[in-house]
Amino acid sequence: MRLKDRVAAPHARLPRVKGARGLRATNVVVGLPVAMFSLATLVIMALRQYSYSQMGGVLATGLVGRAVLLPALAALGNRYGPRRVLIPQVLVFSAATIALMQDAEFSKPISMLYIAAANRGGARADRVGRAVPAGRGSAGHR
Amino acid sequence: MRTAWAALCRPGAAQPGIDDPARRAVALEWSSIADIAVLGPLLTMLLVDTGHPRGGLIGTAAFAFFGVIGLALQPSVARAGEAGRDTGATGHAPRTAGLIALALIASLSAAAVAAVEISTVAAVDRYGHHALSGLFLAFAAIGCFAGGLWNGWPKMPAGRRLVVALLLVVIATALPWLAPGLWLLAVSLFLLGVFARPAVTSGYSILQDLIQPVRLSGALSRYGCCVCLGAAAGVAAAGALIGQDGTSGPADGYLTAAGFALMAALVCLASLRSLGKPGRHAQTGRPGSAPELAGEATTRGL
Repeated sequence: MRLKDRVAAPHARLPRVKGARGLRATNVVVGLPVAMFSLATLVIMALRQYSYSQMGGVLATGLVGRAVLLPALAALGNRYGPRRVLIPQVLVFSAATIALMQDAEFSKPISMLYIAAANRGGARADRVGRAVPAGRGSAGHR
Repeated sequence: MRTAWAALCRPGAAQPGIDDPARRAVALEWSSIADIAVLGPLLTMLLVDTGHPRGGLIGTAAFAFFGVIGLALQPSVARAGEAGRDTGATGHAPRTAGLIALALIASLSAAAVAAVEISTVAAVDRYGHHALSGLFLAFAAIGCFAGGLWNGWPKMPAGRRLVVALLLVVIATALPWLAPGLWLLAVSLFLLGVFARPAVTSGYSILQDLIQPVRLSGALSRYGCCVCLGAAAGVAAAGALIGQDGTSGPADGYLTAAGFALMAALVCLASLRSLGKPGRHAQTGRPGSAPELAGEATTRGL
């Protein structure tokens, strides 16, 4: 297959799927925090003279919080539907992000940043209900 | 998001493009993930550089809030919720040698990627351009795009492709340690993206081959946990090694990343036999779906 066809052909037709443009735009907005949050945390902590070991610790705490809560959130998303889980989740995420920001800005004790990071990591709202399509996409839809 | 895409691409609707609804859903999702991986670091850089250091985190919270509200209002999300309640149990992943090895490989690979991220911020900061770290991480995301071309390499089994890709990741991460410099850093991050993408894709492809479809959900969830825990270990280890003020240790951070990637490659090499053995009820013959299953894992830029 030619390079051009391999890269572009199937995806070029995909936006014609009804509703795809809106969902794609929403997907980008929902997904951006995932691609932004660790870098944004590192930058603000670096500017406030936290050490790189502290920065690593804060990011690691968020990831551990994520790992702990991921299965529970997926199960809740499956049981109650993503909509009922997403709203409380994003409220917690936003509150924890603002708390982390304030803690870093005003050079609060590092333990405060750990707590905020754990909450924020656990409440990241990018993967709710991912268990549903993986199972159904491969079995139920076929 | 996959829920919403799957609901949008449910069978029965007249839709152009890829025929299989599941593949169409993941292809659509992947197309937006590619946007995110490049836009995220660049936008962070822009917000921090032109506004206030807090701009990146404020942007994160704002995008999350408005994005999720917008997502919740999408009709496809409502349909996904209704359909999700019908399906019941998702099944638990069994513990086989192949799956345990794959979990270990995923953790170590994620550790390498996370170590690269914090090391890049430290390295760019050392050269006095802290606001440019987003640009450098975007190079890795662009590399991921290019790495996607490797997905369909037909003449190499997924296990072997994973080993080769991981060894190339070792080389890419070791470059900034061997020869520090901003230009070389950009090149090595691009190469890292190129090689990391097929590694992630191969991992998910192997997972899909090892597991029954009904248990794939549980396995993916556990796989995601392993990735998070590995990334936590990687970022903590690299952060500790980089040092108190970040002036002496970015190279050590890259060395840590290369070490994690090398361990992943060695584990993969040692377990090639078990990774290549499909599960008794494993799903086979669905080419093209595994690359997109890997989509979320690459959102972080790699």
